[in-house]
Amino acid sequence: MATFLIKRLLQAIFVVIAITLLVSFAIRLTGDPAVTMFQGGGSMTEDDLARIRQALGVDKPFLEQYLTFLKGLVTLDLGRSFTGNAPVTGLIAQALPATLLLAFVSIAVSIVLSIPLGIKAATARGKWADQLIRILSLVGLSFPNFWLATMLVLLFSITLGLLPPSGMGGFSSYIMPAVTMGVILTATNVRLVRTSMLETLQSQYIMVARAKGLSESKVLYKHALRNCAIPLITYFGIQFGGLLGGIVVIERVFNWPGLGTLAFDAVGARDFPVLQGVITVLSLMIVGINLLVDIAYGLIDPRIRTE
Amino acid sequence: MNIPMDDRPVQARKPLLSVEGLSVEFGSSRVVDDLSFSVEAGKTVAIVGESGSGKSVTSLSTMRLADMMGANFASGRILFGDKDLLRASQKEMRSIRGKEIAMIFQEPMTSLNPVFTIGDQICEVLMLHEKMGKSAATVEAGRLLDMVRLPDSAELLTRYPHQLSGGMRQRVMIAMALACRPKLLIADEPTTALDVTIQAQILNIMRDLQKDLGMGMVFITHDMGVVAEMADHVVVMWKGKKVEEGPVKEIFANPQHPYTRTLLSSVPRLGSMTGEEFPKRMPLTVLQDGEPTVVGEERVQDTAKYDAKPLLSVKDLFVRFDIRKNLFGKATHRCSAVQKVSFDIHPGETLALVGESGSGKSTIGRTIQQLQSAMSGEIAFNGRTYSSMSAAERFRMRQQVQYIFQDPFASLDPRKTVGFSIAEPINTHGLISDRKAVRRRVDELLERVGLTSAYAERYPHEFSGGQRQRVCIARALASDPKLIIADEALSALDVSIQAQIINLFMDLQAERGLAYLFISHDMAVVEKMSHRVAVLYLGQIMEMGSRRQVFETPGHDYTRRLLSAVPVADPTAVRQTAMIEGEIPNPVRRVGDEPAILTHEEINPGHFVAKSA
Amino acid sequence: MTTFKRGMAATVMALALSGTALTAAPAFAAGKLTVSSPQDPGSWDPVDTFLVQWAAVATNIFDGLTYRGPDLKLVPGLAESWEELDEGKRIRFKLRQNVKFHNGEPFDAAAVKFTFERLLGDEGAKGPQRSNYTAIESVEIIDDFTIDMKLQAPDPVLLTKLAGYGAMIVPPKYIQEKGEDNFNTNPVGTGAFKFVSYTPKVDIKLEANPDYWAGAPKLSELEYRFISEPATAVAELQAGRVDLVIPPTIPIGMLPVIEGDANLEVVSVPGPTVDALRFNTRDGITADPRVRKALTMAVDRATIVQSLLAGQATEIASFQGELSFGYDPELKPLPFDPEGAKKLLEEAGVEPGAAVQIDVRGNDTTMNEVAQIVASYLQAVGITATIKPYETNVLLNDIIPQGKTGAMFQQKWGGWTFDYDNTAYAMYHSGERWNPYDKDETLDKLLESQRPLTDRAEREKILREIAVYAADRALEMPLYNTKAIFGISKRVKGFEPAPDNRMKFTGVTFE
Repeated sequence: MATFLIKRLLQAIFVVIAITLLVSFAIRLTGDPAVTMFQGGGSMTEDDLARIRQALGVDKPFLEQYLTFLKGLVTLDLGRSFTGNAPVTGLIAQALPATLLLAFVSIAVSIVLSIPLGIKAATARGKWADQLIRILSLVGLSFPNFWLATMLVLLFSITLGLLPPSGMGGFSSYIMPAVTMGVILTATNVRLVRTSMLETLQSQYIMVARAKGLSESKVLYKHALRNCAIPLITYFGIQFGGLLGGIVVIERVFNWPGLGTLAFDAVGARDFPVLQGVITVLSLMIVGINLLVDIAYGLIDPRIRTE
Repeated sequence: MNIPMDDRPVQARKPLLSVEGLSVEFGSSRVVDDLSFSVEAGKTVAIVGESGSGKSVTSLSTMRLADMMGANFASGRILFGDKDLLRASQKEMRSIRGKEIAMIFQEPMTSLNPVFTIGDQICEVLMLHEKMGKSAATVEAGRLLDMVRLPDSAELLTRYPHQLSGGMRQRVMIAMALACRPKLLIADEPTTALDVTIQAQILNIMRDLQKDLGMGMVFITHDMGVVAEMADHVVVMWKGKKVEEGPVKEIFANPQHPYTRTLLSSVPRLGSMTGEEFPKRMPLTVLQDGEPTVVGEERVQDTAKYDAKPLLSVKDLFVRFDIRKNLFGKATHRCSAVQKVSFDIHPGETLALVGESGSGKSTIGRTIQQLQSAMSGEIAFNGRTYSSMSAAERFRMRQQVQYIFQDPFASLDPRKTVGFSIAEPINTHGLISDRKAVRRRVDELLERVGLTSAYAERYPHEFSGGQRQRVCIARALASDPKLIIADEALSALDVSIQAQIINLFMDLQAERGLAYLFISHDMAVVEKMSHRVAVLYLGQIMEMGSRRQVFETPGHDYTRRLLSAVPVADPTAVRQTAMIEGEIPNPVRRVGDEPAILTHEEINPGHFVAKSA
Repeated sequence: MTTFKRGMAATVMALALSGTALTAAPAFAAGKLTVSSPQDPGSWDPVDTFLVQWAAVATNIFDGLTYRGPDLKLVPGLAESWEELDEGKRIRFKLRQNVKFHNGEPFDAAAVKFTFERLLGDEGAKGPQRSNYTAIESVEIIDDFTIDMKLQAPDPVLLTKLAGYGAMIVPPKYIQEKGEDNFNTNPVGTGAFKFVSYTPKVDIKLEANPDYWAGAPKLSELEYRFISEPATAVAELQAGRVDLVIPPTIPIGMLPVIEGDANLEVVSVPGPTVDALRFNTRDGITADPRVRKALTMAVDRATIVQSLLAGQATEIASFQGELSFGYDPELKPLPFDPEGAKKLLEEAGVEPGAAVQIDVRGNDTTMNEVAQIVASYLQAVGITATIKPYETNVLLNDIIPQGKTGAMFQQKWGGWTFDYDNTAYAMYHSGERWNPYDKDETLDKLLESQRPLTDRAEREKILREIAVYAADRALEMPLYNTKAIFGISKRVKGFEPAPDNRMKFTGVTFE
């Protein structure tokens, strides 16, 4: 276990350094935050620009800036935003829960929908229920998420006036963003659950479980589902990375004050510290999710646990 | 349904299970046709037949599990007591399954759910049908494990299936099946996937428990040896129909139906070659126009050229796999798959490697075929060692040495015609360049292995298992090899097909002077076709000598044990009563704790026996 | 199966419950105006930002010495009066008395001195605003309510600049006691509304300042929500959770949505933003003024404004809008004349099929469409134009200043001061960042000559001269001055749109 954790830690450090180095370097190639601050207008002089660059610390060589960032990272000081001078850690501390909540609610929606539907499709293979579920999932897959979001807003906020069209507030504000993400995740997950379930249902131990006289729901939800879980969790883990990407769009459409919004604005403003901070947190999250997936493997599959 | 069965008067003679005129269909194809038989309490009915004969569907229909596979019961009744199981609802069936009728399946490795403990899986049945609490069920589960003679039952309950060997898992399956003292036990090929010594143990346990519990048993198998050992009564099935039925001795002594007669004649019987110096190609009894007909000649397989230089020479071969590694990628646990193995194969000779799982016999084959690299030792082909060959020469070696696998379906590309697959080695090695000539060669090969040239355009799924193995042999022959490694190449085939393929192997050997490395766990088949035999155990040779030396005067305990475990296809034979005990040890060990290497002693010219360490 | 059904039932129930429990409450609260603004400036400190979205909010929190309302007239703010002394090198301000900052701190000469010393000192050096006020040499306190602002050189635009941005008067004691960091997120001014709370990326909430020197606002609360996605902002407006969407949010394409909603309306005013396609006057075929004129004449700019921009823009003749100081109504755009263009091209020796590249901001959808149409007009006179979209930052940072553009490139410009000097100097003076290609001594001299003038009429004359000169040399293809588009709920009364987006909501009420 200790070896495992050390390996993971080294991996996390490597991933964070590799990604932040790449992103920090690339973003600096695309623009000068001092110029960006003038909004393409204003009568600025080279002196003004030099003065601001110095104030922001972007006049120093890239490696020096990057090392300052790394040093700060150790003490959890990610510097200050170029727009507004707020500490980056504070901005992230505010945005991270918003994103995490949305991500987990979306995943929860997707799991609650995709597992029963996927199992239903697998057990009714080839019958109308299966066909219907597969067609629906195909339809779900072909939705662009922003389009689905817009349609939901039109229906539930503007026509029916039931839900707030944007913003993060009470429970009602979670419904549309989570459903949008959830539906799109569900569309893929249903197929995954179905395939994985079909394969598991071929197993001898399913026949054995039935031969014991167990009820169908016990056979499916106890014996089969747990065996499906490994491929499912692996996929959910991978999906999480993609989910964070999708969340940028969803956050924008629903004006959700999460990491996606933070990153989006930071790119626009060439706000290097915020961008570096967000990327660091995102890569740590991905590493963390992979760790959770590994731990989940062990919990679910004794073959891995007892290795 | 709570009648204590021991109190049932024997004279009632009412059968426990009675199948009457059962027909089962999948879609438009009828897989069981008008089948009738009955099982009495305390008796064993064996249903015998080859693959596709409908025997497994019969058992699944009795459990009404065939429903889930889409079976349709066209006619008949399955009476269990007074109840017609075919009319019962799935809900009613659930209270019968596992409680009144239990079932054991063929594959012990996959019959247990890998994510639950042994204890959970046994307790589940007890809690469901006997309404026991968790703690009471656990106590009972422990008792059941004792009953199937598993040691340390309490500890075993907390273990997971993957931590158990196949034999132990099958015992767990038996314990689970017997948990609620069923009146009827259906065992579908329960020992087919097991090694012979383990099979013998399981059969013993089943026989004893049946006697103790007085239950009826339906025993499904294709192995006539097992039938002879287990059954009171035999039902022979062929193409979905019952062709013959009778008491076991009757069936063996005086088979009536032509199919039964050919089946029995195909069964390799251990000891049938006693007194013979060389293997013999035997004529075959096949069913022609509904009548058993003897075809082919009898010929002594005197093909081995011992005066010539060895074709293949393996010297002090070691193969080890790293199983577990530490943080720095250094191995901490290793599997010593092959330990200091040496042997020669002469042109025209068949050397058999026999042994149980984990003996390293397949690893040796794979190392010779360069599918696996050796840790140390030398392999020489035609006097040249692999290590002295260039990469190009080693590639050409693959033309000279061909490999035939156990599963012909897995070794053929399902998207390519078999003609393409057969032509592949010819094209790869550039043996013939003219396309028409290649085609002619493929046709020739197909005809040589008993198929017709028309088959070249077909795809693997259009063939039966036996035909596919013939295709694999044709492909192996395509590059005109000197040596063929046949790795359990006959194990997946029905006995009648098996006998034909054995003869094909022998004919090809006589024709072309082929040498075979014949890897098998089946002692009877090995006896029929090998010139020399090497017995492997945990990666080391225990005994090696001519077939006659090893089979008639075995010099090592392990060889004797192996031979005694083989079921004898003769119900009148005196059964080996001495219990075979013990598991096959795990060859994975911690680095630095490698097993001791045994030395050999030549007890007779050419007959080597390992000295115990 | 049963579990499956149970699961579905639970989901349906959850949805049903959510529907009943969560009827969204529209912003009916007593006199609360909710405004959607496209960007969170991140800091509320006046020295920190150039963002118009900062000013939109801050004009309600802070006051300057002068004030410029929606009519763009300069009127007294915290200064009751002022006079220019020493030939424009000194301005004396009489300050308003009995004004208090929101924290109770009194407004006086010391606060003014502090404000400008801060702006021109270390704190101001970290931000962009200082560059607008470098003309100020020092602020001297004459008495508690009189100050003298000494200038290094006369700056004719300074009084306008004192009405906004970096010149907002800040409370000295509050900043000294609570620190600069605190001030970024807890602004205190003398304005009509008091700061209540700020959640980054979400909103800033203000409440009425009952003691406001110009009279208490009629609204009790004012909230700005930061919504960058136009569709989202409009949906919020339609759902009644936002009362006003301020520019630059609503694209022309979304106008029908608002116009189609009985509760909403579109209000627009000419804004500060002008768009032009500037030419590379140094290299290639566009080095010839005849070619530049020909290209301009080949494009029917009036039609583009009418059809593509739905009238939400006006055609321009020089690089400024009608509200700009220096605008000359007499100067007319070059006529649309493809035949004349062809002739000029022939004269200049340009072969049919000659190629030009038009660099545009990739995220500016309107300009991308406009560029397509421009390209097709150019095709008609035998010029093949290719459009190259750049990420805005890249275009602004690398491509234009370093002279790496194609023959034509988009310039979007908008000075909140509405003074042509701000545009013309940056565009035409040699060596300026936005002027990578042209060197013209005459133009340089003209630009320099108007800067020290405090005589408005004289300066306006020179600025008009510059516009004519630039048009004559055809330094750019002037396109249009876009309007600032507001989407507003009809319940809001007394709203007056400001061209510079800085609206004090003191007079706004609800129906």
